[in-house]
Amino acid sequence: MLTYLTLNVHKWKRRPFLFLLLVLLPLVVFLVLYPFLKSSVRDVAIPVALVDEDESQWSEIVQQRVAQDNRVRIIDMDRDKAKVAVQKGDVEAAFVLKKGFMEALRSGNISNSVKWLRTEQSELDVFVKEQIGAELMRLTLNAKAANTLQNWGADVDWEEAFQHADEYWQPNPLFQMEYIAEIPTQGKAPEVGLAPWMNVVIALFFLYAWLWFISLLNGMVQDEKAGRTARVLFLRSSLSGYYLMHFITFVVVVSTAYFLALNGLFYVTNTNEELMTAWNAWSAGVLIGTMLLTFIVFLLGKRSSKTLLVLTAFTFISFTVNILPMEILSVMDTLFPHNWITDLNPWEAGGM
Amino acid sequence: MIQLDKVSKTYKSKTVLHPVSMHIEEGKSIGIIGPNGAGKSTFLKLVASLEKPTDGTLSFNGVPYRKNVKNLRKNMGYIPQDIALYEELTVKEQISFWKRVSLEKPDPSFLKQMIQTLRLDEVYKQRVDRLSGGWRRKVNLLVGFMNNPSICLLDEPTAGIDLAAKEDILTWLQSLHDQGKTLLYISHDWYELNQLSDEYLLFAKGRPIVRATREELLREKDSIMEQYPEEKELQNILKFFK
Repeated sequence: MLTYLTLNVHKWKRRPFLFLLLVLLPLVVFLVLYPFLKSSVRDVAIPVALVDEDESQWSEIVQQRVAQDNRVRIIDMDRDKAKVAVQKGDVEAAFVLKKGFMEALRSGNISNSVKWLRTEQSELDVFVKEQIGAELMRLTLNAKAANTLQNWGADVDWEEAFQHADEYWQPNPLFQMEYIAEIPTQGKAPEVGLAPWMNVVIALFFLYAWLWFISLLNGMVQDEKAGRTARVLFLRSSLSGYYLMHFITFVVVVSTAYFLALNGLFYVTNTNEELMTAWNAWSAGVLIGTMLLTFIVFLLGKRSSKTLLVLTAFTFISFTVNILPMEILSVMDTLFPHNWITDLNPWEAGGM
Repeated sequence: MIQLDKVSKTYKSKTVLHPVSMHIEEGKSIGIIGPNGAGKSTFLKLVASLEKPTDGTLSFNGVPYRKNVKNLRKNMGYIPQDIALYEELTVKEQISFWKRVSLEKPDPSFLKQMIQTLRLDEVYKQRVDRLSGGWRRKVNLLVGFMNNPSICLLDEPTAGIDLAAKEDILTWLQSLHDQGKTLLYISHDWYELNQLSDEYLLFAKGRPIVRATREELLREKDSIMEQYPEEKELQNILKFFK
C-alpha cells in the first residue's frame, strides 16, 4: 500500500524546492502580507480627530483611554485641520478638548468642556462620543468625590482622594448590568470568534488547498492518458489500491500545507488555544470531507480533464460566494464547502 | 486461445471497428498493419481487455472475458504506444516501483535476462526522462512484460527509435516468440514485421480485411491494392512489402 506513497516521494524529491514551496506557499504569502493586512485592518477602525487644546494630564488620559479601543483610530490634529478633515469626510468626527478642560472637570463643571464637530454624514462617531462621555464622567465623579471630602474638611490630600475614587472604576466599574452568557444552540462556543478578515484569509487557504488537491488529481488523468493506469490494471488486476493510496497521499500533503498556514495565522494573531483547537478540528473535517467528495466526483466523472475543469470552477464559485456579502438561500449555502468552513462552523458565531 | 465472436466497437454512433470474428492461436506471432484510423489500436485494446466491445464477445481459453478478466490479465502483457512510465524515476526506481505494484512477484532470473538482453544495466541509474527514445522504449517493454506473460500485445513497440535499440527489442521479442509466447503487435515497419510475424493481419476501414502468411500476402497483395484503390495509405504500405 505504501508503493504509491513512495512513488510520489520519488517524484517530489526530484524537485524538492518546488515541493517545499508548494507546501509552504500559503504560510509564506500570509506572513509576507501580514503587516499590510494588519494596517488594512487598523484602517477599518473609526477615524476620529482629537484636538487637545488643554494639553493637560487629564486631556492626555482621555486620549489614551479612548485610543485603547481597537475600533477607534485617534488622529491628533489642531482645530482648523480637524474642521477641514470632518468636512472632507477624512474623519468621522472631531472632538475638541477645550482649553481649561482639566480645570473645568476638577471643579465638576462638565458642560462645554468638549466640543463635538460632525457632519450629517457622520454616523459611527456616536460610539466615540459615548466613550469620551464615559471618561469625562469618570474623571468628574472622581474630582467631585475629592472636592466633597475637602469641603467636609477631611484631612486628606485632593490627589489621594481622586486616585482612591478612581480605584472603584477598576478592575470593575461601580455599576454593572447583570448579564447571562447564552450558549449557542449548535455547540459550546469559545468567548469570541475570529475576526472577519481572518475568515477571509482562511477561505483563501482553503481555496489553495482545494485547488492543489485538484491539480494533484490531474496526475491521475495523465496516468490514464499515458497508459500507466492500464499498466497497473495488468499488474494488479484492480485499481482500488491505486486510487486509495493516491487519495491518502494527496490528502496528507495538502492538509500539511493548509494546517501549517492556518496555525501560522493563529500564531501571529495570538488566537486563543481553545479557538485554535476548535478551528483545527473543524477544518480537518471539512477539508478531508471536501477532498473526499471532490475525489468521488472525479471518479464518477470518468477521471477526465473536463471534470477537473468543472471542479476548479466550482472551487472559485465556492470562494466567491463565501466572501461576497450575497444574500443566498440557506439551502444553497450548504452546497459550497467554503461556507461549511466558516458559516456552518459551530465555533463561529454567525460566521463571516 | 483467444476467440473473438462478432466483436465491434462504436464511439458515439461512430463505428471504429466493424464486427470481427477471429481465433488467435497460442504461440502465434501476428503483425497488425494498416493505415491510421483503420481500427488496429481499438482491436488491440479490445483483445487486451482495456476496452469493452459494443457488441460481440471475447473469450480466453473458452471462458468469456467478463468472467475471466483477472486470469486473463495475469497471462497478458500490454505495451501501449505511449511510454507508460513515471519518467521522473531512474530505471532502477522504475523497475523497483512496478515490481511492488505487481501482485505476482516477477521471476528475478527472467528480469535479469531481460535487463541483459535489452542492455538496460548501462542506464540503470539514469532518470528515464533523460534517456533517448530507444532506451525509454526498452524500459517500457521491460516493465510491461516483467511478469513473463504468455500473451504479449504491443502497439508499435519500435516506433521512432534508433536501429541499435530496435535490434535489441527485436532480439528480445524473437526470443519470446521462440519460447512459444503469443505475440500480437501493431507495426508500420516491414523489416520488423518480416523478422517476427508468422501471420499478417491487414486492417482497412475499421475491419480486418486479410489475415495471411507472408507467402499468401505476397500472392494477394496486388488484388488487395486493386480492391481498395482509394486507400492511399494502404497502397503505400503494401507497395513496400516484398
